[in-house]
Amino acid sequence: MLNFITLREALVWLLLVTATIITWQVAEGEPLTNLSRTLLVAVSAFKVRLVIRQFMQLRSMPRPWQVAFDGWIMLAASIILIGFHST
Amino acid sequence: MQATYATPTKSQSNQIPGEEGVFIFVLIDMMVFAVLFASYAFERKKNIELFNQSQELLSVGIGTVNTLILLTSSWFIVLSIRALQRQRRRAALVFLALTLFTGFMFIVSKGFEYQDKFAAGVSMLTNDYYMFYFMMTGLHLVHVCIGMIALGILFTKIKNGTAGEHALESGATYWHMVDLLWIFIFPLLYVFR
Repeated sequence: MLNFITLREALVWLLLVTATIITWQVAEGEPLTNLSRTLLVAVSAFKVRLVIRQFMQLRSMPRPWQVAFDGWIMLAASIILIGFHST
Repeated sequence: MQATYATPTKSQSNQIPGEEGVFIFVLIDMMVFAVLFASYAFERKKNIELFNQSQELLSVGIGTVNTLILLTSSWFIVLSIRALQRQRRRAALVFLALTLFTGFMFIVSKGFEYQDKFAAGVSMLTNDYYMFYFMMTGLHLVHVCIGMIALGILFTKIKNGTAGEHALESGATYWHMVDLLWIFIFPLLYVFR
C-alpha cells in the first residue's frame, strides 16, 4: 500500500516539525538573549541542512555540491547571528 | 547462481537528482536571498527600536503555521518521488496533489496575513521594517507561485505519462528551496528582535 513511505524520511519530517514548535515556544517566552538567538539560529541551520541533505538528496551528490550548499547555510546563519548580536 | 543487476537510472549514475542546472539556479537564487538577509540586518542596526516595534504586529504563531505547512509540503513531494520510483503513478499523483494543496494553503495564509496588515493601515511604504517584510515575504511568495505553476504542469505531464521521476526530482529541488528559504526568513522577520 504505502510501502514507499520510508521511516527515515518520516522521522526527518517529525524532527523538522518538533524543532519548529520548539522555536515557536522559545519565541513566545522570555525576551531573547544572545545565547538563545545563537541556539535558534543553530536550530534553523540544522533544519535547513536536514531539508537539503535528506529531502533534496544532496547527501548522494558529488562533494563540491555539498560544500557549496553547506557554505550557503554557514553564510546565511552568520549574517543573521552577526546582524542580531547585541553588545 | 546468476547475479542480477539493476540498470542504473540517469539520476543514480551521476548521483544528481533531476537536472544539474536546477541546482545551479537554486544556489544563485539562495545567494540573492542571502544578500537580502544581510541588507535587512544592516538596516536594522540603524534603527533597532523601529524594527522591534514594527515587528510586534507580526504573529509568531502564523509564521510557525507557515513553516509547518511548507515542511509538510516538502515531505509530500518526497513521497511523490518515492511512489513514482516504485511505478506507483496514482499514489505519486495523490502526493503531488497534496503538495499543491499545501502550497495553496501557504498562499491563502499569506493572503490573510497581508490583509491583516493592510487593515491596520500598514503597507510597504510605512517604514523600513515593513519595506523589508513585504519585499522578502512577497519575493518568497512569488517563488511559491512559480513552484505551484511548475508542479501543476508536472502533475498533468505525469498523469499523461509524458514526464517521470527525473522531471519530478527537478521540480522537487526548486520546491525544497522555497521551504528552506522560509526556514531562515521565519526567525529573521518574525522571531528575532
